[in-house]
Amino acid sequence: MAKAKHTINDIQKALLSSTRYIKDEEAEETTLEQSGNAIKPTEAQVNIDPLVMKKIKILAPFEGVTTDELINKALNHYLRLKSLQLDKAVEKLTQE
Amino acid sequence: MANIISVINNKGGTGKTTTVLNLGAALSRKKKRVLLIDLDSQCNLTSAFGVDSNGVGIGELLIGKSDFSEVIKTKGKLSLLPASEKLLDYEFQLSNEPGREYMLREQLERVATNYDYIIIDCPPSLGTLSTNSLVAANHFIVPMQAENFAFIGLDRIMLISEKVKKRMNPDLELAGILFVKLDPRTKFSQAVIHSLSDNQNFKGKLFNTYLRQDISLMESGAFKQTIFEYAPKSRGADDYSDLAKEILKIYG
Repeated sequence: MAKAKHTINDIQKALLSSTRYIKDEEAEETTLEQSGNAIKPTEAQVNIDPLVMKKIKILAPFEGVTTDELINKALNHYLRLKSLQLDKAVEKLTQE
Repeated sequence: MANIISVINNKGGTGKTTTVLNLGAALSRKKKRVLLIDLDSQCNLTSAFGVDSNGVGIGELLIGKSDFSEVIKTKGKLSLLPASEKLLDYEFQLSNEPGREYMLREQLERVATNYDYIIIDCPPSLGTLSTNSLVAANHFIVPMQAENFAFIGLDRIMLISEKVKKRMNPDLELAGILFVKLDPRTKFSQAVIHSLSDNQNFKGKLFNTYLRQDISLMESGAFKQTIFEYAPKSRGADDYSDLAKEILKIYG
């Protein structure tokens, strides 16, 4: 089958269909007023404060990770801290 | 005060390293004091400069293990802050550091008066190191081929750079889009160029100079030479010389 012939205009339309900045669209921004309820991410089973979630969404692209990955990373960090606290508490108890 | 230019594209193989090395060399031939920075853990710029990537580099400088004088390498009028193979580990360490986006900027503020141009070779990703380069820079250049994925990549870089500009570096401006390996006769190339030149956001932001396909550019890197040392009469040498002239005309 012969290859379809496209004009420059057709190609431009196809190129622009996958863009946001170049197409001049506003980047998706949710305002705090819009997000009333706690947001549950798709993989982590935790309710997140909307303000915190908004910041995480901003931060994730800078870290080069998805929002879910960043949340899991933060949870992991927090749980490690909790684990250290537990170790210290046990250590203190055994000393007493 | 140096004009700090980040050469960035999260797509690999777009000629970032070649552009940093040869634009730097072209500017130094115009009597400008130039510092190049290799922020890519693949260490290609470091290698093309003829520096061993097992030594200390920008990673050690960023985490405070080494100081500037220990890290910098000089070849003629061109200086380099090399990358070492450990840069990836340091990037991971930096990811837990408060204010990590500002660490390169802090280091460059100390030496910026010693240079006219500082040109940064970014890794092909938009992680901590690339963000550092955009926070430290006044301008950024996006080298790209006139093709679909590069076009989408450019869109992503512009979204990120807008955020960096808004939140961390209000001075950041797009210096220009540099087309590489361009064949302006093809319909597809023309569509890409029109899509950008007709767009208000890119008005005056496409360099008039574009890089033609030239095997000498690839060869020169392998022989650890700039295009001006390896093939001074090649198309690549002409193109990078024109690009330097265009940049000097804008920024002096």
